[in-house]
Amino acid sequence: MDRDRYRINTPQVLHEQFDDDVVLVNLENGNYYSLNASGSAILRLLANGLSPDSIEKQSSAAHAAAGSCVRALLAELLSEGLITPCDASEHIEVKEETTVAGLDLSTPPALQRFTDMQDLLLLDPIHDVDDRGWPSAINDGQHG
Amino acid sequence: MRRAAITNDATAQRFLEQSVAAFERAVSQTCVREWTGILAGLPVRLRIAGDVCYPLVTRALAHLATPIASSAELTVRVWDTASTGHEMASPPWPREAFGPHGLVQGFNDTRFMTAYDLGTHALSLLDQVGGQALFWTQDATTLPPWEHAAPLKRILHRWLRSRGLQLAHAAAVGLSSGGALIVGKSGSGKSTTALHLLREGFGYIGDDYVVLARSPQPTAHSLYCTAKLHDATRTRYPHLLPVFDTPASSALPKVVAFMQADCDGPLLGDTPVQAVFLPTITHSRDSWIEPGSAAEAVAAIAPSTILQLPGAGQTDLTQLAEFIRLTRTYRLHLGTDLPGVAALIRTTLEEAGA
Repeated sequence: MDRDRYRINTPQVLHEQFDDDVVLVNLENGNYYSLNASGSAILRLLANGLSPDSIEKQSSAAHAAAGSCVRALLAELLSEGLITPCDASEHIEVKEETTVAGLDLSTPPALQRFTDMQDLLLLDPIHDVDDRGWPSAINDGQHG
Repeated sequence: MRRAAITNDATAQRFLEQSVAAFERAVSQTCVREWTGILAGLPVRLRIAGDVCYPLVTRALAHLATPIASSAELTVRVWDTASTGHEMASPPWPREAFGPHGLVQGFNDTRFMTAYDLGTHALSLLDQVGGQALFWTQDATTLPPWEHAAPLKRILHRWLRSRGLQLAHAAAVGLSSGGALIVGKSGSGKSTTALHLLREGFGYIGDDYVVLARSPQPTAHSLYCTAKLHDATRTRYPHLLPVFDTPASSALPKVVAFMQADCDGPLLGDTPVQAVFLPTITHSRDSWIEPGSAAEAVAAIAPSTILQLPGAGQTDLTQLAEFIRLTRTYRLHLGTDLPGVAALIRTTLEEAGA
Protein backbone atom coordinates (compact mmCIF):
# COMPACT_ATOMS: atom_id res chain seq x y z
CA MET A 1 0.00 0.00 0.00
CA ASP A 2 1.17 3.48 -0.81
CA ARG A 3 -0.02 5.14 2.37
CA ASP A 4 0.71 8.57 1.02
CA ARG A 5 -1.67 8.56 -1.90
CA TYR A 6 -5.43 8.53 -1.59
CA ARG A 7 -8.54 8.26 -3.69
CA ILE A 8 -12.22 8.85 -3.08
CA ASN A 9 -13.67 5.65 -1.69
CA THR A 10 -15.82 4.76 -4.69
CA PRO A 11 -18.24 3.16 -5.37
CA GLN A 12 -19.65 3.34 -1.84
CA VAL A 13 -18.87 7.05 -1.64
CA LEU A 14 -20.53 9.36 -4.15
CA HIS A 15 -19.27 12.85 -4.73
CA GLU A 16 -20.16 15.90 -6.73
CA GLN A 17 -17.95 18.93 -7.11
CA PHE A 18 -19.40 22.44 -7.23
CA ASP A 19 -17.57 25.75 -7.58
CA ASP A 20 -16.91 26.12 -3.88
CA ASP A 21 -18.23 22.95 -2.34
CA VAL A 22 -18.22 19.22 -2.58
CA VAL A 23 -21.22 17.09 -1.63
CA LEU A 24 -20.40 13.53 -0.62
CA VAL A 25 -22.74 10.64 0.21
CA ASN A 26 -21.58 7.51 2.01
CA LEU A 27 -23.81 4.62 0.94
CA GLU A 28 -22.37 2.39 3.64
CA ASN A 29 -23.75 4.34 6.59
CA GLY A 30 -26.22 6.81 5.07
CA ASN A 31 -24.24 9.88 6.12
CA TYR A 32 -23.76 12.77 3.75
CA TYR A 33 -21.30 15.62 3.85
CA SER A 34 -20.58 19.10 2.66
CA LEU A 35 -17.01 20.30 2.30
CA ASN A 36 -16.19 24.01 2.13
CA ALA A 37 -14.06 25.70 -0.52
CA SER A 38 -10.62 25.07 1.02
CA GLY A 39 -11.53 21.51 1.92
CA SER A 40 -12.86 20.91 -1.59
CA ALA A 41 -9.61 22.20 -3.05
CA ILE A 42 -7.54 19.86 -0.88
CA LEU A 43 -9.77 16.90 -1.68
CA ARG A 44 -9.39 17.64 -5.38
CA LEU A 45 -5.60 17.73 -5.06
CA LEU A 46 -5.60 14.42 -3.16
CA ALA A 47 -7.94 12.79 -5.66
CA ASN A 48 -5.75 14.02 -8.51
CA GLY A 49 -2.77 12.13 -7.11
CA LEU A 50 -0.89 14.62 -4.95
CA SER A 51 0.34 13.28 -1.63
CA PRO A 52 -0.44 15.18 1.58
CA ASP A 53 3.31 15.89 1.92
CA SER A 54 3.41 17.46 -1.52
CA ILE A 55 0.43 19.67 -0.78
CA GLU A 56 1.96 20.70 2.52
CA LYS A 57 5.38 21.48 1.08
CA GLN A 58 4.08 23.38 -1.90
CA SER A 59 1.66 25.50 0.09
CA SER A 60 3.54 26.07 3.37
CA ALA A 61 5.28 29.19 2.07
CA ALA A 62 1.95 30.88 1.51
CA HIS A 63 0.15 29.28 4.44
CA ALA A 64 2.01 28.57 7.65
CA ALA A 65 -0.80 26.33 8.87
CA ALA A 66 -1.01 24.31 5.66
CA GLY A 67 0.43 21.18 7.23
CA SER A 68 -2.02 21.04 10.11
CA CYS A 69 -4.94 21.90 7.81
CA VAL A 70 -4.13 19.12 5.39
CA ARG A 71 -3.41 16.51 8.08
CA ALA A 72 -6.55 17.34 10.05
CA LEU A 73 -8.76 17.09 6.98
CA LEU A 74 -7.03 13.92 5.83
CA ALA A 75 -7.68 12.27 9.21
CA GLU A 76 -11.32 13.30 9.11
CA LEU A 77 -11.88 12.08 5.55
CA LEU A 78 -10.26 8.75 6.42
CA SER A 79 -12.21 8.42 9.63
CA GLU A 80 -15.49 8.94 7.78
CA GLY A 81 -14.49 6.43 5.12
CA LEU A 82 -14.70 9.04 2.38
CA ILE A 83 -11.20 8.42 1.04
CA THR A 84 -9.00 5.38 1.12
CA PRO A 85 -5.26 4.79 0.63
CA CYS A 86 -4.37 3.75 -2.88
CA ASP A 87 -3.31 0.17 -3.40
CA ALA A 88 0.33 -0.38 -4.25
CA SER A 89 -0.77 -1.87 -7.55
CA GLU A 90 -2.69 1.26 -8.57
CA HIS A 91 -0.93 3.39 -11.13
CA ILE A 92 -0.91 6.90 -9.80
CA GLU A 93 -0.33 9.64 -12.28
CA VAL A 94 -0.49 13.19 -11.06
CA LYS A 95 -2.52 15.14 -13.55
CA GLU A 96 -0.49 17.90 -15.19
CA GLU A 97 -2.86 20.63 -14.21
CA THR A 98 -2.78 19.59 -10.55
CA THR A 99 -1.12 22.39 -8.63
CA VAL A 100 -1.52 24.02 -5.28
CA ALA A 101 -1.36 27.45 -6.91
CA GLY A 102 -4.44 29.33 -5.87
CA LEU A 103 -5.08 27.14 -2.83
CA ASP A 104 -6.63 29.51 -0.31
CA LEU A 105 -6.46 28.28 3.26
CA SER A 106 -7.45 31.57 4.88
CA THR A 107 -10.62 29.73 5.88
CA PRO A 108 -9.64 26.32 7.26
CA PRO A 109 -11.15 23.21 5.71
CA ALA A 110 -14.47 22.25 7.25
CA LEU A 111 -16.30 18.98 6.74
CA GLN A 112 -19.96 19.09 7.76
CA ARG A 113 -21.51 15.73 8.48
CA PHE A 114 -25.26 15.03 8.32
CA THR A 115 -26.62 11.87 9.89
CA ASP A 116 -30.35 12.43 9.54
CA MET A 117 -30.72 9.99 6.65
CA GLN A 118 -29.22 7.01 8.45
CA ASP A 119 -32.64 5.56 9.19
CA LEU A 120 -33.16 5.04 5.48
CA LEU A 121 -30.49 2.38 5.74
CA LEU A 122 -32.06 0.31 8.49
CA LEU A 123 -30.79 -3.21 8.54
CA ASP A 124 -32.89 -5.47 6.42
CA PRO A 125 -35.16 -7.71 8.49
CA ILE A 126 -33.76 -11.07 9.51
CA HIS A 127 -35.36 -13.60 7.25
CA ASP A 128 -35.53 -17.23 6.37
CA VAL A 129 -36.43 -18.69 3.02
CA ASP A 130 -39.23 -21.11 2.25
CA ASP A 131 -38.79 -24.36 0.35
CA ARG A 132 -39.15 -22.49 -2.94
CA GLY A 133 -36.31 -20.15 -2.05
CA TRP A 134 -38.29 -16.99 -1.31
CA PRO A 135 -37.98 -15.20 2.03
CA SER A 136 -40.65 -16.10 4.54
CA ALA A 137 -43.27 -13.45 5.08
CA ILE A 138 -42.62 -11.45 8.19
CA ASN A 139 -44.98 -8.60 8.90
CA ASP A 140 -42.60 -5.93 10.01
CA GLY A 141 -42.87 -2.21 9.53
CA GLN A 142 -39.40 -1.01 8.94
CA HIS A 143 -39.76 0.57 5.56
CA GLY A 144 -41.26 3.73 4.32
CA MET B 1 -21.48 -2.83 -1.15
CA ARG B 2 -24.70 -1.83 -2.87
CA ARG B 3 -23.62 -2.97 -6.31
CA ALA B 4 -22.85 -6.36 -7.64
CA ALA B 5 -21.57 -7.37 -11.01
CA ILE B 6 -23.73 -9.88 -12.75
CA THR B 7 -22.02 -13.22 -13.04
CA ASN B 8 -24.21 -14.93 -15.58
CA ASP B 9 -26.43 -12.99 -17.95
CA ALA B 10 -27.92 -16.21 -19.29
CA THR B 11 -29.10 -17.19 -15.80
CA ALA B 12 -30.79 -13.82 -15.35
CA GLN B 13 -32.42 -14.14 -18.77
CA ARG B 14 -33.67 -17.64 -17.95
CA PHE B 15 -35.12 -16.48 -14.63
CA LEU B 16 -36.93 -13.65 -16.38
CA GLU B 17 -38.45 -16.08 -18.85
CA GLN B 18 -39.52 -18.42 -16.03
CA SER B 19 -41.06 -15.47 -14.17
CA VAL B 20 -43.01 -14.36 -17.24
CA ALA B 21 -44.23 -17.93 -17.73
CA ALA B 22 -45.38 -18.00 -14.10
CA PHE B 23 -47.28 -14.76 -14.69
CA GLU B 24 -48.95 -16.17 -17.81
CA ARG B 25 -50.04 -19.25 -15.86
CA ALA B 26 -51.53 -16.99 -13.20
CA VAL B 27 -53.53 -14.91 -15.70
CA SER B 28 -54.74 -18.01 -17.50
CA GLN B 29 -56.61 -18.97 -14.33
CA THR B 30 -57.85 -15.49 -13.44
CA CYS B 31 -57.82 -12.56 -15.85
CA VAL B 32 -55.44 -9.93 -17.08
CA ARG B 33 -56.24 -6.24 -16.82
CA GLU B 34 -54.30 -3.82 -18.96
CA TRP B 35 -53.36 -0.24 -18.13
CA THR B 36 -51.60 2.12 -20.50
CA GLY B 37 -50.28 5.59 -19.93
CA ILE B 38 -47.56 8.11 -20.67
CA LEU B 39 -44.88 8.40 -17.99
CA ALA B 40 -42.50 11.33 -18.44
CA GLY B 41 -43.32 11.30 -22.14
CA LEU B 42 -42.79 7.57 -22.57
CA PRO B 43 -45.52 5.01 -23.36
CA VAL B 44 -45.88 2.32 -20.71
CA ARG B 45 -48.13 -0.72 -20.49
CA LEU B 46 -49.03 -2.58 -17.31
CA ARG B 47 -50.40 -6.12 -17.50
CA ILE B 48 -51.93 -6.95 -14.14
CA ALA B 49 -53.17 -10.34 -13.03
CA GLY B 50 -56.57 -10.32 -11.39
CA ASP B 51 -58.61 -7.60 -9.75
CA VAL B 52 -56.77 -7.40 -6.44
CA CYS B 53 -53.51 -5.91 -7.70
CA TYR B 54 -55.05 -3.54 -10.24
CA PRO B 55 -56.20 -0.71 -7.94
CA LEU B 56 -53.13 -1.03 -5.73
CA VAL B 57 -50.82 -0.34 -8.65
CA THR B 58 -52.86 2.01 -10.84
CA ARG B 59 -54.57 4.39 -8.44
CA ALA B 60 -51.49 6.57 -7.98
CA LEU B 61 -50.93 6.60 -11.75
CA ALA B 62 -54.55 7.34 -12.66
CA HIS B 63 -53.86 10.88 -13.91
CA LEU B 64 -51.37 9.53 -16.48
CA ALA B 65 -53.64 6.86 -17.93
CA THR B 66 -54.29 7.20 -21.65
CA PRO B 67 -54.47 4.92 -24.67
CA ILE B 68 -51.08 4.68 -26.36
CA ALA B 69 -50.85 4.78 -30.13
CA SER B 70 -47.44 3.16 -30.43
CA SER B 71 -46.07 0.08 -28.77
CA ALA B 72 -45.04 0.51 -25.18
CA GLU B 73 -41.39 1.19 -24.42
CA LEU B 74 -41.83 -0.65 -21.14
CA THR B 75 -44.25 -3.45 -20.30
CA VAL B 76 -44.59 -4.32 -16.63
CA ARG B 77 -46.28 -7.51 -15.48
CA VAL B 78 -47.79 -7.31 -12.01
CA TRP B 79 -49.18 -10.10 -9.90
CA ASP B 80 -49.23 -11.76 -6.52
CA THR B 81 -49.50 -15.34 -5.38
CA ALA B 82 -52.19 -14.91 -2.73
CA SER B 83 -54.93 -13.64 -5.05
CA THR B 84 -54.07 -15.76 -8.10
CA GLY B 85 -53.12 -18.96 -6.34
CA HIS B 86 -50.06 -19.35 -8.53
CA GLU B 87 -46.51 -19.63 -7.30
CA MET B 88 -43.63 -17.57 -8.58
CA ALA B 89 -40.68 -19.32 -10.19
CA SER B 90 -38.02 -20.27 -7.67
CA PRO B 91 -35.10 -17.87 -7.50
CA PRO B 92 -31.86 -19.17 -9.05
CA TRP B 93 -29.79 -17.46 -6.36
CA PRO B 94 -28.97 -18.68 -2.85
CA ARG B 95 -30.38 -17.24 0.34
CA GLU B 96 -27.22 -15.19 0.87
CA ALA B 97 -27.85 -13.29 -2.37
CA PHE B 98 -30.75 -11.36 -0.80
CA GLY B 99 -28.41 -8.49 -0.16
CA PRO B 100 -28.63 -5.30 1.80
CA HIS B 101 -31.02 -2.59 0.63
CA GLY B 102 -32.95 -4.98 -1.56
CA LEU B 103 -30.45 -5.73 -4.29
CA VAL B 104 -30.10 -9.38 -5.25
CA GLN B 105 -26.37 -9.93 -5.41
CA GLY B 106 -25.11 -11.09 -8.78
CA PHE B 107 -28.26 -10.18 -10.72
CA ASN B 108 -27.72 -6.49 -11.34
CA ASP B 109 -25.86 -4.88 -14.19
CA THR B 110 -26.56 -2.38 -16.96
CA ARG B 111 -29.19 -4.69 -18.44
CA PHE B 112 -30.90 -6.35 -15.47
CA MET B 113 -32.13 -4.93 -12.20
CA THR B 114 -33.25 -7.42 -9.57
CA ALA B 115 -34.39 -6.22 -6.17
CA TYR B 116 -36.31 -8.00 -3.44
CA ASP B 117 -37.66 -5.85 -0.64
CA LEU B 118 -37.55 -7.88 2.56
CA GLY B 119 -39.91 -5.44 4.27
CA THR B 120 -42.73 -5.74 1.76
CA HIS B 121 -41.77 -9.10 0.20
CA ALA B 122 -41.91 -7.72 -3.30
CA LEU B 123 -39.68 -8.61 -6.23
CA SER B 124 -38.85 -5.95 -8.82
CA LEU B 125 -37.25 -7.25 -11.99
CA LEU B 126 -36.27 -5.13 -15.00
CA ASP B 127 -34.75 -6.07 -18.34
CA GLN B 128 -33.56 -2.85 -19.98
CA VAL B 129 -32.84 -4.51 -23.31
CA GLY B 130 -36.17 -6.26 -23.64
CA GLY B 131 -38.17 -3.30 -22.32
CA GLN B 132 -39.98 -5.50 -19.86
CA ALA B 133 -40.31 -5.71 -16.12
CA LEU B 134 -42.08 -7.77 -13.52
CA PHE B 135 -43.38 -6.89 -10.07
CA TRP B 136 -44.43 -9.80 -7.94
CA THR B 137 -45.34 -10.00 -4.30
CA GLN B 138 -46.51 -12.80 -2.11
CA ASP B 139 -49.69 -11.01 -0.99
CA ALA B 140 -50.58 -7.65 -2.53
CA THR B 141 -53.11 -6.87 0.18
CA THR B 142 -50.29 -6.60 2.72
CA LEU B 143 -48.41 -3.94 0.76
CA PRO B 144 -48.07 -0.88 3.00
CA PRO B 145 -49.56 2.53 2.13
CA TRP B 146 -46.25 3.92 0.88
CA GLU B 147 -46.21 1.25 -1.82
CA HIS B 148 -49.69 2.35 -2.89
CA ALA B 149 -48.45 5.94 -2.90
CA ALA B 150 -45.44 5.16 -5.12
CA PRO B 151 -46.04 1.88 -6.96
CA LEU B 152 -43.30 0.27 -9.09
CA LYS B 153 -40.85 2.88 -7.81
CA ARG B 154 -37.75 0.68 -8.02
CA ILE B 155 -38.47 -0.46 -11.58
CA LEU B 156 -39.36 3.00 -12.84
CA HIS B 157 -36.31 4.56 -11.24
CA ARG B 158 -33.88 2.30 -13.06
CA TRP B 159 -35.77 2.36 -16.35
CA LEU B 160 -36.12 6.15 -16.41
CA ARG B 161 -32.51 6.67 -15.34
CA SER B 162 -31.25 4.77 -18.35
CA ARG B 163 -33.12 7.30 -20.49
CA GLY B 164 -31.55 10.29 -18.78
CA LEU B 165 -34.61 10.90 -16.63
CA GLN B 166 -34.20 11.05 -12.89
CA LEU B 167 -36.66 9.96 -10.23
CA ALA B 168 -36.25 12.45 -7.40
CA HIS B 169 -37.53 12.70 -3.85
CA ALA B 170 -39.08 16.14 -4.14
CA ALA B 171 -42.33 18.02 -4.52
CA ALA B 172 -43.17 20.15 -7.52
CA VAL B 173 -45.92 22.62 -8.39
CA GLY B 174 -46.47 24.73 -11.47
CA LEU B 175 -47.96 27.92 -12.82
CA SER B 176 -48.25 29.08 -16.40
CA SER B 177 -45.13 31.16 -15.76
CA GLY B 178 -43.13 28.13 -14.65
CA GLY B 179 -42.71 25.67 -11.88
CA ALA B 180 -41.08 25.21 -8.50
CA LEU B 181 -39.20 22.19 -7.27
CA ILE B 182 -39.38 21.91 -3.49
CA VAL B 183 -36.73 19.78 -1.83
CA GLY B 184 -35.94 18.87 1.73
CA LYS B 185 -35.93 16.08 4.21
CA SER B 186 -38.98 14.95 6.13
CA GLY B 187 -40.19 17.70 8.45
CA SER B 188 -38.56 20.53 6.51
CA GLY B 189 -41.89 21.87 5.30
CA LYS B 190 -41.75 20.36 1.81
CA SER B 191 -45.27 18.92 1.82
CA THR B 192 -46.65 21.85 3.79
CA THR B 193 -45.37 24.23 1.15
CA ALA B 194 -46.54 22.18 -1.80
CA LEU B 195 -50.04 21.62 -0.43
CA HIS B 196 -50.41 25.24 0.54
CA LEU B 197 -49.45 26.32 -2.96
CA LEU B 198 -52.14 24.04 -4.40
CA ARG B 199 -54.72 25.97 -2.42
CA GLU B 200 -53.34 29.17 -3.89
CA GLY B 201 -53.86 28.18 -7.50
CA PHE B 202 -50.67 26.32 -8.33
CA GLY B 203 -50.98 23.08 -10.31
CA TYR B 204 -49.90 19.76 -8.83
CA ILE B 205 -46.95 17.81 -10.21
CA GLY B 206 -45.98 15.71 -7.23
CA ASP B 207 -45.63 15.69 -3.47
CA ASP B 208 -43.08 13.01 -2.75
CA TYR B 209 -41.55 11.81 -6.03
CA VAL B 210 -41.26 13.51 -9.40
CA VAL B 211 -39.29 12.78 -12.55
CA LEU B 212 -36.71 15.34 -13.63
CA ALA B 213 -35.62 15.93 -17.21
CA ARG B 214 -32.72 18.22 -18.10
CA SER B 215 -33.42 18.76 -21.78
CA PRO B 216 -34.68 20.55 -23.75
CA GLN B 217 -35.21 22.57 -20.57
CA PRO B 218 -35.28 21.60 -16.90
CA THR B 219 -38.68 20.00 -16.43
CA ALA B 220 -40.48 18.19 -13.63
CA HIS B 221 -42.82 15.42 -14.77
CA SER B 222 -45.63 14.14 -12.62
CA LEU B 223 -45.49 10.46 -11.72
CA TYR B 224 -47.74 9.76 -8.74
CA CYS B 225 -50.91 11.70 -7.88
CA THR B 226 -50.45 11.15 -4.18
CA ALA B 227 -49.47 13.15 -1.14
CA LYS B 228 -48.01 11.77 2.06
CA LEU B 229 -48.91 13.78 5.12
CA HIS B 230 -48.22 13.50 8.79
CA ASP B 231 -51.39 12.71 10.64
CA ALA B 232 -51.31 16.03 12.46
CA THR B 233 -51.04 17.96 9.20
CA ARG B 234 -54.25 16.68 7.69
CA THR B 235 -56.44 19.00 9.73
CA ARG B 236 -54.75 21.91 7.97
CA TYR B 237 -56.00 20.66 4.62
CA PRO B 238 -59.65 19.72 5.13
CA HIS B 239 -60.25 19.92 1.37
CA LEU B 240 -58.04 16.84 1.00
CA LEU B 241 -59.86 14.74 3.56
CA PRO B 242 -62.30 13.12 1.14
CA VAL B 243 -59.44 11.42 -0.65
CA PHE B 244 -57.48 10.21 2.34
CA ASP B 245 -56.98 6.49 2.38
CA THR B 246 -57.69 6.54 6.09
CA PRO B 247 -58.59 2.96 6.98
CA ALA B 248 -55.35 1.49 5.67
CA SER B 249 -53.04 4.09 7.06
CA SER B 250 -54.51 5.65 10.15
CA ALA B 251 -52.19 3.73 12.48
CA LEU B 252 -49.11 5.00 10.64
CA PRO B 253 -47.34 8.32 11.10
CA LYS B 254 -48.12 9.34 7.53
CA VAL B 255 -51.34 9.07 5.63
CA VAL B 256 -51.71 8.86 1.90
CA ALA B 257 -53.97 11.19 -0.04
CA PHE B 258 -54.85 10.52 -3.65
CA MET B 259 -55.13 13.81 -5.44
CA GLN B 260 -58.11 14.35 -7.67
CA ALA B 261 -58.37 17.08 -10.25
CA ASP B 262 -61.94 17.97 -9.35
CA CYS B 263 -61.25 18.83 -5.72
CA ASP B 264 -57.52 19.57 -5.49
CA GLY B 265 -56.92 21.93 -8.38
CA PRO B 266 -55.24 21.12 -11.66
CA LEU B 267 -53.06 18.03 -11.93
CA LEU B 268 -50.32 18.91 -14.37
CA GLY B 269 -48.37 16.41 -16.46
CA ASP B 270 -45.21 18.46 -16.33
CA THR B 271 -43.86 21.94 -15.73
CA PRO B 272 -40.65 23.74 -16.66
CA VAL B 273 -38.73 24.27 -13.43
CA GLN B 274 -37.66 27.89 -12.92
CA ALA B 275 -36.41 27.55 -9.37
CA VAL B 276 -35.61 25.14 -6.58
CA PHE B 277 -36.78 25.99 -3.07
CA LEU B 278 -35.33 24.64 0.16
CA PRO B 279 -37.92 25.20 2.89
CA THR B 280 -37.13 25.45 6.57
CA ILE B 281 -39.74 26.09 9.22
CA THR B 282 -39.14 29.17 11.35
CA HIS B 283 -41.04 30.63 14.28
CA SER B 284 -41.35 34.03 12.65
CA ARG B 285 -44.67 35.32 11.38
CA ASP B 286 -43.39 36.33 7.98
CA SER B 287 -41.72 34.16 5.41
CA TRP B 288 -38.73 35.23 3.37
CA ILE B 289 -36.55 34.00 0.57
CA GLU B 290 -32.82 34.34 -0.05
CA PRO B 291 -30.52 32.88 -2.69
CA GLY B 292 -29.05 29.47 -1.95
CA SER B 293 -26.36 27.41 -3.64
CA ALA B 294 -26.57 24.47 -5.98
CA ALA B 295 -24.59 22.41 -3.48
CA GLU B 296 -27.21 23.08 -0.80
CA ALA B 297 -29.97 21.96 -3.13
CA VAL B 298 -28.12 18.79 -4.07
CA ALA B 299 -27.45 18.01 -0.41
CA ALA B 300 -31.19 18.41 0.19
CA ILE B 301 -32.43 16.26 -2.67
CA ALA B 302 -29.77 13.66 -3.39
CA PRO B 303 -29.27 11.66 -0.16
CA SER B 304 -32.96 11.04 0.45
CA THR B 305 -33.46 10.10 -3.19
CA ILE B 306 -30.46 7.81 -3.46
CA LEU B 307 -30.71 6.09 -0.09
CA GLN B 308 -34.32 5.04 -0.72
CA LEU B 309 -33.71 3.43 -4.10
CA PRO B 310 -31.82 0.15 -4.46
CA GLY B 311 -28.95 0.43 -6.89
CA ALA B 312 -28.94 4.21 -6.90
CA GLY B 313 -25.47 5.69 -7.00
CA GLN B 314 -23.11 8.11 -8.70
CA THR B 315 -25.22 8.35 -11.87
CA ASP B 316 -28.18 9.55 -9.82
CA LEU B 317 -26.09 12.10 -7.95
CA THR B 318 -24.60 13.41 -11.19
CA GLN B 319 -27.98 13.65 -12.93
CA LEU B 320 -29.52 15.44 -9.96
CA ALA B 321 -26.59 17.87 -9.79
CA GLU B 322 -26.78 18.60 -13.51
CA PHE B 323 -30.47 19.37 -13.18
CA ILE B 324 -29.96 21.65 -10.19
CA ARG B 325 -27.20 23.57 -11.99
CA LEU B 326 -29.71 24.48 -14.72
CA THR B 327 -31.99 26.25 -12.24
CA ARG B 328 -31.74 28.80 -9.45
CA THR B 329 -31.82 27.78 -5.82
CA TYR B 330 -33.51 29.70 -3.03
CA ARG B 331 -33.78 29.14 0.70
CA LEU B 332 -37.40 29.48 1.75
CA HIS B 333 -37.83 30.43 5.41
CA LEU B 334 -41.39 29.47 6.23
CA GLY B 335 -43.20 31.71 8.68
CA THR B 336 -46.49 31.05 10.37
CA ASP B 337 -48.31 33.32 7.91
CA LEU B 338 -48.58 30.80 5.11
CA PRO B 339 -50.65 32.94 2.71
CA GLY B 340 -47.60 35.13 2.20
CA VAL B 341 -45.61 32.18 0.89
CA ALA B 342 -47.56 31.85 -2.35
CA ALA B 343 -46.96 35.50 -3.24
CA LEU B 344 -43.26 35.14 -2.48
CA ILE B 345 -42.92 32.12 -4.71
CA ARG B 346 -44.94 33.66 -7.53
CA THR B 347 -42.69 36.69 -7.52
CA THR B 348 -39.53 34.59 -7.35
CA LEU B 349 -40.64 32.38 -10.23
CA GLU B 350 -41.42 35.42 -12.36
CA GLU B 351 -37.99 36.88 -11.62
CA ALA B 352 -36.22 33.59 -12.23
CA GLY B 353 -37.98 33.15 -15.55
CA ALA B 354 -37.41 36.71 -16.73
